[in-house]
Amino acid sequence: MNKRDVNTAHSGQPGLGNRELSRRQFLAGLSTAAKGSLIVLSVPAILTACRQADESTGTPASEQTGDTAASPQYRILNEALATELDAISARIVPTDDTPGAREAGSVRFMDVVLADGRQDQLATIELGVTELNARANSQFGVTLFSALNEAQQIELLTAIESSPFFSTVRYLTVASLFAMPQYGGTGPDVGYNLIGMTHAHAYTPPFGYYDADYAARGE
Amino acid sequence: MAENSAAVTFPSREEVDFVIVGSGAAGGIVAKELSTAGFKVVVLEQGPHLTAADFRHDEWGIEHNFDLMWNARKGHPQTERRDASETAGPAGYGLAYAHNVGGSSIHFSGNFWRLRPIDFIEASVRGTIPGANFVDWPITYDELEPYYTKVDWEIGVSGLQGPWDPPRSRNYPCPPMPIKSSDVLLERAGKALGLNPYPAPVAILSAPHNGRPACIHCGFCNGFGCEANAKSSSLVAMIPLALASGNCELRTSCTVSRVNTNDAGRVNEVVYWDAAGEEQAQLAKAVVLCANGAETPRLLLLSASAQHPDGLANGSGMVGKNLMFNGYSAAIGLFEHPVNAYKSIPATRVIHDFYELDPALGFYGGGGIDGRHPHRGLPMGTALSAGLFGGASWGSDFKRSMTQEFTHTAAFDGHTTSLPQETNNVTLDPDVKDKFGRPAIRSTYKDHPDDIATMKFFMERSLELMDAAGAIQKIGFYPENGQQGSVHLLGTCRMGNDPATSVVDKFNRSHDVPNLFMVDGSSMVTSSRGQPTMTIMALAFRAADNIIQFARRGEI
Ligand SMILES: Cc1cc2nc3c(=O)[nH]c(=O)nc-3n(C[C@H](O)[C@H](O)[C@H](O)COP(=O)(O)OP(=O)(O)OC[C@H]3O[C@@H](n4cnc5c(N)ncnc54)[C@H](O)[C@@H]3O)c2cc1C
Ligand code: SF4
Repeated sequence: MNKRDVNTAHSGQPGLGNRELSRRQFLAGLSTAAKGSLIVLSVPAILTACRQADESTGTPASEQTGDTAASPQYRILNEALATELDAISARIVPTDDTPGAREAGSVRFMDVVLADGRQDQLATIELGVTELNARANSQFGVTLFSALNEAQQIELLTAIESSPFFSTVRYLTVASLFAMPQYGGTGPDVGYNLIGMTHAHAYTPPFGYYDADYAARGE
Repeated sequence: MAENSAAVTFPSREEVDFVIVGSGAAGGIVAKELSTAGFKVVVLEQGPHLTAADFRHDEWGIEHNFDLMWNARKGHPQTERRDASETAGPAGYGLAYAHNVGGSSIHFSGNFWRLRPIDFIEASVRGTIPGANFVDWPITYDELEPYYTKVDWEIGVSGLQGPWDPPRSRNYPCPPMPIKSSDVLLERAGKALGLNPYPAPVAILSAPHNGRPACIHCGFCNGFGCEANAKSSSLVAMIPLALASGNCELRTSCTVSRVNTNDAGRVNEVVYWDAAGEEQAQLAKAVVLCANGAETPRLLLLSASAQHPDGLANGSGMVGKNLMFNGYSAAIGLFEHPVNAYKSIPATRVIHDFYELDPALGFYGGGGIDGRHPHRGLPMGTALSAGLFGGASWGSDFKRSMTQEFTHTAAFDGHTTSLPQETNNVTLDPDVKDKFGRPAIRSTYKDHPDDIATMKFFMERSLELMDAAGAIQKIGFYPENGQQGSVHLLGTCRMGNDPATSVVDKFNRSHDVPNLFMVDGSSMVTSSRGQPTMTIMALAFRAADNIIQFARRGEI
């Protein structure tokens, strides 16, 4: 991301290009609860949309009834949607020599958090999946994204990586790697192990290379 | 959750000496001071009484479900706009604060910079600034200094006096926190550029103090409650002393809706919804509002009556006006070796060489720069924004970018001034209501051009520091189109000597209502250089000291 992207991403400037919109959406995933660096900058577009949905109906989204018939094993997702989300999230954080979205239980996480007052995001996702399947059909003659091969899936996702739909699925997939198990996934270990984070609740100096060096030099 | 918070209970239909609304940074101090001085005090706090055992490293819950900060998802919508010509829409970030005993002091990062003597008299030194309502404070640094020292010792601050710091009557109680790699990079870069980095003063214990333990460097600090009780919130430093006094009843999950006045124009009753949603009213001899710079003016406006048609204590028309946030900017750099800035507290060094910008630059401003983790050390937050340096943001290379950005980055953040402007304010939204049916907070806010120029200046300095620190790659940003929403909620019941232009006097007493006091971020006259809470707490100790003397002399 270049500097301009970062600035516009946070500024909420109208008329953003698609690429920038995507950045904005994605920074939407950034937490907003505090100040410091990137944080305060980004209004979480996703949560704002959620609020707007709440306010326009006057009912908390959590009390609205969706028209999706959930599969018995999910709170809100149906089997077909879950299968496609599983395929998409596995491209966002693939399983290779290390675990990815599948091992993190991304789809179960999505099910739990979408059911928790985020029905408007579910609507974005449902529409996006329908469109993605339509693209799979028109481009490759296959009716489901999940039935494409890996290269075809990457090609289709690259084409839509600026869309609010992709940003929403990416947001939830990435979050699932680091979320505690009570949110439906397998817990934060998949993410923590990837980035070298631990469950330690206490650290002692030196914390990194430079403060170790500082101490060694007696600065 | 704390067991029954009430060590003592007072009947609501008998007058207590004081009702305090809000138990945050300021409210906790006022509660402790008044109750330990022997006054009967009821504290009404809308949130729960959490304790260290309730605080978890649950990033999704805290950051994405807003467990500590209520918003529209929890029935507390706000609206916002840039100026009065616009119709306000749903607020994105809004005027944000933590809703619980301790208020935002439980999850703040504890950067505790005192103001300097210049801050209190800057308007007369600098002269008027077009578009700004920039005035001197009615008090001086010397008058506030003893109370800054009280904050250091009673709340618990770690630091080291630098030769260019304002004079202090007593040293810090705790030595500085151990330096982090992000601040080694800042310190070395600063020195290379001829600047004077020094240990950051923080409301976090580097050593045991007042029966609390030292910080264990857990890293989930900014935005999170402290599991170790090492962060010096009013929750752990003040509330226990207030409850132990036997004179303070803390009523939680009690949301105040209005303050009533009697025929003599004095406040006599505070109306609230209790935990069961039932309306209650507590009689009181005097009332102290400590609900913060967003909720205190809202409550005064909601307390309008035939006697006070424009809102309680609003003879000046200044209630809600002059809302200030503080500006910010940042540069993020990628480094060769592990920085691991996700460990320990947010910042351990600060550069204050730009405290007062040269007037020759053509704009007013000032602030400080500290070293941090770009995403407050949060794993999920880092991964969500990974790809900052052009790396993949999804797919097989994404794992590499998220790891690199978690461990090998540092941010040099600018924290800067905001000018007071009457057009920036808190009002009641005419349409949107909260879950109790109260009009929602509507904020109208546009940064002054000088505030934006200041943020840009600080970003440029941070980028130079990144170069001097040897960053392999760097990016910088600031809100070039201005901020909407903040966690610094300042100036909306400003302090002053003139009842025509200010809401409270130099002792935080309402100019209009003699037994009503406003003590929180709302009384700030200027914004501070980016870290206001040390001053909010010092003002709270000072106000309490004076309130005690007034009460003892029968002058309330
Ligand atoms: C994540 C974060 C990091 C921060 N870091 C720093 C920092 O490093 N340095 C710094 O100087 N500042 C920092 N701040 C800002 C700091 O927390 C605030 O300036 C400070 O807490 C304000 O104190 P206050 O007493 O004015 O209000 P608050 O602490 O907000 O307390 C107000 C209290 O009143 C209660 N209340 C409000 N309305 C009602 C009502 N109607 N009825 C009953 N109760 C009510 C609220 O629930 C709350 O408990 C940070 C803030 C956040 C959110
Ligand atoms: S870093 Fe220290 S002060 Fe901050 S939350 Fe962890 S233990 Fe508490």
